[in-house]
Amino acid sequence: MKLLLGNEAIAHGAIAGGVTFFAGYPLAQSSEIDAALIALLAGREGAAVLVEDTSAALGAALGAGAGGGLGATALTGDVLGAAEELVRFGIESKLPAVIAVVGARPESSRGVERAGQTEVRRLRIGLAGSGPAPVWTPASAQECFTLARAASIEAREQSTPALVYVDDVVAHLREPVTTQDDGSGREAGAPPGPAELYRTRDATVLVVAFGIVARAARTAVRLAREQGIRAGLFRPVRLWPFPFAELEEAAARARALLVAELNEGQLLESIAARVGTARPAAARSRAAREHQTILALSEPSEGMLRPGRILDSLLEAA
Amino acid sequence: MSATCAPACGLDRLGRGIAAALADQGSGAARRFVVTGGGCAAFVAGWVEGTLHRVPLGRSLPFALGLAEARPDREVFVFLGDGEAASVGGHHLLNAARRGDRVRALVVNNEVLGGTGGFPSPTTPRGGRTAIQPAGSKPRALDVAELARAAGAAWVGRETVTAGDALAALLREFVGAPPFALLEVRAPCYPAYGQWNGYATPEAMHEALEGRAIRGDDPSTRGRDSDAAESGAFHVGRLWPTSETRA
Repeated sequence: MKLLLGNEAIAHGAIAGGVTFFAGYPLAQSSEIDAALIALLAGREGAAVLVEDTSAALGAALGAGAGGGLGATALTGDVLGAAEELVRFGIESKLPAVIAVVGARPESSRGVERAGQTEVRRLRIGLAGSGPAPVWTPASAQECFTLARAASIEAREQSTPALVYVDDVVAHLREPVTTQDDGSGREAGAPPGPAELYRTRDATVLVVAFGIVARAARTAVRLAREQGIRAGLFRPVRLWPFPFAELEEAAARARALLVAELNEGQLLESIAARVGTARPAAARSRAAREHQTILALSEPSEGMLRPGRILDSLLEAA
Repeated sequence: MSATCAPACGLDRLGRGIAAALADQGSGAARRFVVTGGGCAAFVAGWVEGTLHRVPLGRSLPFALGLAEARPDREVFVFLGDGEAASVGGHHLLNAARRGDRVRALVVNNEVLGGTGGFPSPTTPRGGRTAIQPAGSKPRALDVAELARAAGAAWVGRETVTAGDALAALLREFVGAPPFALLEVRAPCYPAYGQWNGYATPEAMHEALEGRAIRGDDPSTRGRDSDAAESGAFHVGRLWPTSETRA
């Protein structure tokens, strides 16, 4: 066990998943991933190169994939626009690469414990007629490791760019991480499920949240239960393709879904458009068919949703 | 607009030339990666046997870097136009030369974004007229070969597409040159550039291009290179390392 930053755990996970090459343009919020990958590759048969920008980093990572290796890079939400072109090229050309994206902080915040999840919509990167590239989103340093390893294995086995999307707070939490790291790229244990369910079996009101917000939401659900509210949490572990079927199943008894996220409602938009269509009407409960409402708890500017605020919304929705 | 080849642009000669140089060298196609971002240079890449990767315009050099790092057993050749080499991928070129990426880059410079039908590129000479700039391009031209040399390329050469034996000799040297190596080949583009600049035929453009080339220590050319970028003259042959630096 090691004490690692979420960002460092991503690097360890990528190496454990078989990454052989790193190319990067260092950016403040993701630079620990770069530093850790350079250090880890120095002791292995692999190469690390610092390049001139994010496009070069992704281009080189995909080039390594085309040459039979597995390339990784890290970037922040601020430069995602430059990266999208090449992620799309990687999907088209069926080239593997592991791409860590640290969410941009809201403009107004310089303080600690502020994060943004404003890349949700733009991370849904795919081609017409096929699903989006896989995007995994961890809520702890341990999960940074696990999901980066899973994404690396998936990238190689499915020949696709695979992304790990982490908010700035989870990226910089220092937590204990178990790294069963033999570098073989073999999966230790079962691959991660697409969603985590917390007290959803009888839930009449369900919070949907990921990353650091999911950790606050878990506390809010526990507090709501103490007040007799049948609350639950649905946490997507895989953001894209979004686990809609799992959400519908978890929300079978729910009258209300509360989508809590650090942006202006990007996940809400997708859920509102899709929930209710993934399963046939007959398979859904009467409550869900007739009364289910989808509510927003969107916080783009403050950069954090604390348990009290989520609890208030849960009580209102119940 | 289409990017089909212009009449007598000479890129077929260049394609055959590099194919012949590689055949002479004897390294097999199975040991070669070929990368191109598009433009007229993609046509030249088509003559070269090897595993071909077509990547988004501008990103051919970074992609080639990844290939070279992942496969130390293979040679990597990149084919760029002057647009990709000097603008959309210009900073990639600078840094590939600076790092010494294990890549050989062939830049086809026709002084215009030919595929666009006549937009100026960073290598369009000052005053050069294009379809969208009938009064002439204002900025000075960027010297791609000089740029690569200044950035630290291990080998730099330049030739015209009509140079015949001189081109063949330089291509033979280029395919075995120490990386990062850059060969700039000057070629004319009649429809996108020549017809707007007073040339009666593509062949007249070839003659003018040859006239601008400064070969070796020919005393008759002395003085013409005081500001090559302004006069439109350019040195050809191996530009780096020079014979003095080699000795």
